[in-house]
Amino acid sequence: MKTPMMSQFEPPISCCSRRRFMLRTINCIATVAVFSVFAPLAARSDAVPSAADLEIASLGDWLREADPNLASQLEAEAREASQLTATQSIDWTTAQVARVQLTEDTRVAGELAGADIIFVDGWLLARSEAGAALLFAVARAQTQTRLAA
Amino acid sequence: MITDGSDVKDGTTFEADICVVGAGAAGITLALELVQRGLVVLLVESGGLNFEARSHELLDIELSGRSSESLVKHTRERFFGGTTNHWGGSIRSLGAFEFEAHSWVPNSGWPITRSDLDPYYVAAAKILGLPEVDRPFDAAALGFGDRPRLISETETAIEAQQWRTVPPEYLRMGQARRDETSKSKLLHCVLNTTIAEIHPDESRERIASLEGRTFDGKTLHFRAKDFVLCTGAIENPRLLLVSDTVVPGGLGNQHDLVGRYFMDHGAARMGPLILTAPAAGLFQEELLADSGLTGWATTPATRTEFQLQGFMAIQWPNVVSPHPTLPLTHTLGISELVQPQPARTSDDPPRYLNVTVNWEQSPNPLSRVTLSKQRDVLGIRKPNLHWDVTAGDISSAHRSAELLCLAVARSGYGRLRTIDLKDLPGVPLTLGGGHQMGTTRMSNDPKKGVTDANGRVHSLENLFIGGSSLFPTGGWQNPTFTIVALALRQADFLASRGT
Repeated sequence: MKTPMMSQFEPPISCCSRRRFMLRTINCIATVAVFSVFAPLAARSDAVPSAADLEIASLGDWLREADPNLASQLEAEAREASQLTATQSIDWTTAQVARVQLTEDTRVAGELAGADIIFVDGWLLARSEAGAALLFAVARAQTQTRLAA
Repeated sequence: MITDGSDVKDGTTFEADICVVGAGAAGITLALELVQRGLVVLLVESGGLNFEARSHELLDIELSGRSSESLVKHTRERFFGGTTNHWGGSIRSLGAFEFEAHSWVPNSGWPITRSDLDPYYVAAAKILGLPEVDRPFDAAALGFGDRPRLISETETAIEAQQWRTVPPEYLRMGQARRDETSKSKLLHCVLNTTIAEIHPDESRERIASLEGRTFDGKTLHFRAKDFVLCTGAIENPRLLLVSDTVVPGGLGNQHDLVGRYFMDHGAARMGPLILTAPAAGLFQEELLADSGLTGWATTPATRTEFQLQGFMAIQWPNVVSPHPTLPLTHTLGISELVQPQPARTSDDPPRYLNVTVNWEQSPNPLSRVTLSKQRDVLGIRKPNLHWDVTAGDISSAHRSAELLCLAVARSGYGRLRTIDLKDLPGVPLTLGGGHQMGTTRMSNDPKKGVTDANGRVHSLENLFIGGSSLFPTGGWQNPTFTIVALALRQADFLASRGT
């Protein structure tokens, strides 16, 4: 017997897969590049992001790329929870302070218990953790803009 | 007694009460069990006592769909002892839930229940040198005290599981049971003889004889009252399909079911699992406890609630490198986000663990064994395997993995990266568990299965099937323990027929 339905079971070669791969590669390159740019500027920067900080920012970038609407919503929630206005600029120090609030144990445990979670590039994050990653992404973007200027 | 088919005169006919084809876990178990009941048994094996390239080449197969050589050719052995010759020996029995029909899994449901197999699991454990069937996961009983668990004991979606490992002296059945075979006066094992066709009698309702071929061109004949094929989930349907001289389409294939519903356990690597809390004293009970693997599986309640197929995960200890497809820095990011880390010293416990998963396929008629136009060196048509994986299989595996990730996160000890069966290059779909199943499934309804609940081919009075090709569904558990238990149950049935 032929298998006319076979094609419907074939997982497609996903554009998303290629995009993720490229994004991941770009992230790695960006991590190294931005880190090397930041290091000599430490003296006049508000804070120097660590490699881990930049990876967290990459998670935020990934989420924004994968689901812009959800990312906007989560960023808005994160700003509100961190007493930041919708348009307020975010530097690394601000992002770090917000992260501490957003990833506070009780808050995260509550979200995990309620399965209020998001998978970001395969990683499970509580909703607030994802918000923190988005604020890191904003911090990196704004710093890059400032440096470019 | 053990005889090499090459040493026998061309045209020789062997006779016995029962003829068993294939000397693997099912065939050896069944044959030796039958002789204990006083029956005269023939055991016909395609290979010799040891690995030989010429018999291994007979496993050559044409592939399509998701199939790969690593899935089918290199996960089977064709000599005395069968695939137990490279078996890892991890065993679990199928839980009662796996025998039930699940509304969300089409074509699921066994014609027998777990309680039907209970006594045979007990007997199988004894044959495999184990003191008991399954050992429930019990950290205290295992001597691990009150150390924190990676997954909380209050977690309901995922539960810890323990595998038993067959002791080395029982593991390779070809070695473990060779003496019994060679010394038995009622058992005659004929090696290096490949069954090429099954011949029904004039009524077409009974099998009259089997035709065997040797590597040196001889033809041997095997006559018995009952015949049992125990050659695995690819070779069993192949044998039925090539036996089409008298019955077009092959034996037992009136409803076009022979070869269909091929299943394997999908396999993938999850992770890494990143520990974000101090790990000293943690996890050991969930790594290698005593002599068996430990891991996790989704619970029946969760599978019912979310309509999932079986899913299990094993974590591998002493792994310090994260998933090779992920940049190291990427994993640092997640651990920093979820809980800022103090500087790690070389004395710290491992920070990464690898996790592998097996997931159950739904029985899918499009996943099937057919016949190729190619022939092997003995002139027998080769099998073609089209292994199909459905969107539902993938979806179920993804959802199950996400539940495991959530259970790990809730514990507060770490985070586990989920699987992405579309994204991780080279990881998932060409891999199987080496657990070929289905293809001559059991069902009480001849329109839904090739055999009845005793493994008898519906349309034939004296042809039986043994092994994992009988499985209507595969569960998440390794199949060999159930293969042995089914063989013992079948021995009881055959003996009771008064053969």
